[in-house]
Amino acid sequence: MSSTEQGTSSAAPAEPTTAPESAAAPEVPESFYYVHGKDKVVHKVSAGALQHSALIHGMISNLGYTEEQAKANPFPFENIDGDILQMVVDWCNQHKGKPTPPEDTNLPKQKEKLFDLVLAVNYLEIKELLTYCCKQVAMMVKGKSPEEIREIWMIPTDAEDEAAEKEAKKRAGKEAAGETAAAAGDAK
Amino acid sequence: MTNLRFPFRRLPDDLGLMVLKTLEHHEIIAYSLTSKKALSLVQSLGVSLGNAQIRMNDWPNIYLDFGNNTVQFNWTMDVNGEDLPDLDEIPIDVDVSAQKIDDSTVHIEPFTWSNQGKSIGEWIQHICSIFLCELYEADFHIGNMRYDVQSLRNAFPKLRKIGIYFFTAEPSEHDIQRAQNILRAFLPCVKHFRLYRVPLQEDFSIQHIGMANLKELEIYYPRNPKLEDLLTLNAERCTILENQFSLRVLNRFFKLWKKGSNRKLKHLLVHGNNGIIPSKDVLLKGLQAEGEMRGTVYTIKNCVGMCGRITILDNTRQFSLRDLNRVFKLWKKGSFPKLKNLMVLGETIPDWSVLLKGLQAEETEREIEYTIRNCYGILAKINTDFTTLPTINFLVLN
Repeated sequence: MSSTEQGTSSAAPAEPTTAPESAAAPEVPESFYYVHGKDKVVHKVSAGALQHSALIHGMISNLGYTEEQAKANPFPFENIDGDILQMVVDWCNQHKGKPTPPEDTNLPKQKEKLFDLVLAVNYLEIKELLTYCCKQVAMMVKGKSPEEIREIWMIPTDAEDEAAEKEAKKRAGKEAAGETAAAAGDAK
Repeated sequence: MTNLRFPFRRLPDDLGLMVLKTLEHHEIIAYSLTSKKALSLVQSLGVSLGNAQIRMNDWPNIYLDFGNNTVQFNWTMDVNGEDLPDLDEIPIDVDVSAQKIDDSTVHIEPFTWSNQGKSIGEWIQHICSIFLCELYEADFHIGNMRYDVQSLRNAFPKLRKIGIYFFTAEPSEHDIQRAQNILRAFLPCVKHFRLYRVPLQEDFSIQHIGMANLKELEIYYPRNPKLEDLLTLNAERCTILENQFSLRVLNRFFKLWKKGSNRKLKHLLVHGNNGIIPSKDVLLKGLQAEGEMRGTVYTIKNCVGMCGRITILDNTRQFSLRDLNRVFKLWKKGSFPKLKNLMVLGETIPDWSVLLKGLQAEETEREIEYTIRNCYGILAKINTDFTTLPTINFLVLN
């Protein structure tokens, strides 16, 4: 398995800021976890950054991994493309421990990936990022006419919808017939 | 247009709804026009709408009031043919105007959309099907309308209120017929009517309307009203402005009310505009009225023990447009900081040059509407509402 430590660069500067507090109370070392997407590239992310994701936060709370165990068992997100996971990890790092601003200027710029990003963020349950992503999708049709919206959001016409529904019904019928035939064959 | 595409329909419905919730209202309407499935998704959003006013003016339009923002649709029709176009015809195009009030600034965005292959009636039905609104109103400006109104009931949603307005001194037979058609179409199902200078005739009189068990009836400038007309008004609330009822007729009406007529009536406002305080003696003669409050409020009782209160209002004080202009100038200088809304009823259409003189008012995109700003940067709009008597509205926006 290939491994990168994407999260370390953003996690490292956090240490000096917490240093003065250590004089008063013993500093709790920041724990790191590891995630990988479809491309198997492992990203090291701090627990603080991962708190944005309700899904991962829940996993961390339940598993109670040590540093060693976490390194040995990266969280696998096989349904998320590597570059999308990278964007999500970057956003989580940038917003670690900060209140999220009403307008986020750190949103991923590659809008071609917006669809996959929305699905990934929804799956990972990152509420603030999901809100920003939804706003980005909405911004695409700002002030547009119905025809422009249809084109930008790739909305099928009613005729296309009807044809697709017919096709789906036909397919479902064929599959049901196939299953009945197979069941009859098994019975024989 | 941008080349960027987004497969919106591949999003799960909950995410699609999240996106739609961030759209402006006119964009939600635009999306709903893209397909039947889009309309269905928009309907499931359940967006509430404060008030929807369908105005049948020179061209039909619909005004949607969402509180902080409004959307207006104006449909332009083709008048090249011999016959007037009707609501079943497809408009040439659709002008959409979205107005938003944000941090004391009014933002207006105009758009032109294609007709989407829908007739005016279908447009109205489509828009009204999207939102949760209990208050649909329709105003018919007879005489100004450049189209025919047919199959009315089918084109409109369930209306709560209807206004019929005549602004011409000598309406044509055709216009009178139109007004009667509207009344015939909606009297069975609408409970609140406002009739402004409507020339009713013998075959369709106030009495016909009065018998329709209305919740509320407002009649402005009725022609030759009679006591019989008043007695047949079976409405809960009734307003008659600029009437020619004599005090003797009103006295007779109250006497008959005491004997048990008009039991459904809960409120009657009669505005005489004589400019003088009415003679109480004539009005109250034989009513055994008991007086309260400095002799302006009287109580009478009918045969079944119901009490009625007669209030005599003194309306002799009148503001001129110059007075109002001075009030607005003082507001601009910082006076009346708590004032949010001022509504002044008039008798004639205001002369805007007098009213707005020296106010540096800016015209908005809506018809006869202006904005002014005071020394603290607070914005207010001044407009005229013809839905009652010509009314000047002054509304502070923040």
